[in-house]
Amino acid sequence: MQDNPDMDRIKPRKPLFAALMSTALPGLGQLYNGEFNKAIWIFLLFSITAIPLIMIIALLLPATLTMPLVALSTALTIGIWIFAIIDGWRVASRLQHFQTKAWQTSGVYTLVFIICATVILPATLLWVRKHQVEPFQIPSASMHPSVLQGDFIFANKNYNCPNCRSAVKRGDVAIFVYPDNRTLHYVKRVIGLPGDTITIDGNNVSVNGMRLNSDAAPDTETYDGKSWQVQWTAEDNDNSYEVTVKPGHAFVLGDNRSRSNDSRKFGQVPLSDIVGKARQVWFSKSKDNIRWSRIGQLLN
Amino acid sequence: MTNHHNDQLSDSPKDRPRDQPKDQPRDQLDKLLTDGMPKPPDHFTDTVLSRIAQQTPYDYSRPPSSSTKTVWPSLALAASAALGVFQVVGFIFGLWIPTVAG
Repeated sequence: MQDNPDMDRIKPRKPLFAALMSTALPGLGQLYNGEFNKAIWIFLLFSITAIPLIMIIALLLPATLTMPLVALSTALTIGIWIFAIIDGWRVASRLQHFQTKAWQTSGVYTLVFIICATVILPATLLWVRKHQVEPFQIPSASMHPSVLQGDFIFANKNYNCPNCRSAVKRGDVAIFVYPDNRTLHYVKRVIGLPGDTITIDGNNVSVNGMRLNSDAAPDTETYDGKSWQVQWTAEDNDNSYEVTVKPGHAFVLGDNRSRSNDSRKFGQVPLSDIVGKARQVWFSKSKDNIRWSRIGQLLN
Repeated sequence: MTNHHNDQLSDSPKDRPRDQPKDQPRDQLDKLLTDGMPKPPDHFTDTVLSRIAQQTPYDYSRPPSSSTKTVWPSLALAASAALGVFQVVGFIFGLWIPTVAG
């Protein structure tokens, strides 16, 4: 009686196995079912199209669409994941007389899983967070009333870098690395760029001799068509401060001028340490409740 | 002196017992094959078989499970699925996990 190698490779597909494999990594269940091309497309759609591509598009569109597009990308990713699980199950249930291909071994599945789930997916997410969009949580009140304590914001990371679309401008609400502790990020408003002379006289801030506020609206500062609200207390009336911004640096102030640890205390921030520009509030909560009205608020 | 080589299968006449007729089957096996299986003694079920049932409580009506072949691969797959789910969920919601900016 002769051995039939082809008969040895007839192995019915198990729907539970296919579904679990797609749960672990979208596309892996399709690989188990022998659908090589479909496996690749599902993984590509899941890993590259759903989140990174939509984030690239989000930064090209108005800032008001940032949060909806992030939500859309999340929903699309979840949808592709669920589709992969269900499709893996359904196809496997039909493949009861399946002849496995030579490459369909546990070693191949394990290698694909390790490369895709532990290398490609985390690297893709890190790339999006580093170069496209990153969420930040604001624990301090230093930027009241523009950015409140308890706000969760999206920041544009395609900012202040070679070939980036946006450069640092005066008036930007910027995220930067805290000079005194490089493990921390701070959020403040950029007031001065390299070469600027910053003067603070009482509650009045001037840049190159041009006052940002006016007597009629002392708490409203304006520069180059951009306006923002600030907060001072009576103890600041005796302020007197003047500095010239060094080359390659920026001068930053918190909008809550009396309660802000900013360039007046820790000095000027290297421009290379400014990593993002605040874009939109996607969630906001105070101690007692959720501030629904702030969700979707633009910041720059 | 009679030699009873009941377990031997030799066909040699000199091995056959002297008191064994020539036309009689030579050993018990041949006898069983020609005469058929003997009846078990009375009460055999009540004595021998009942003792066996008491001493070996294995359920012979249940087919033996191939636990070694299915449990370990299934456990490995479940553990991998759990790790994979962790990675996948981390990827999906990674854009909603905020960094603190004071």
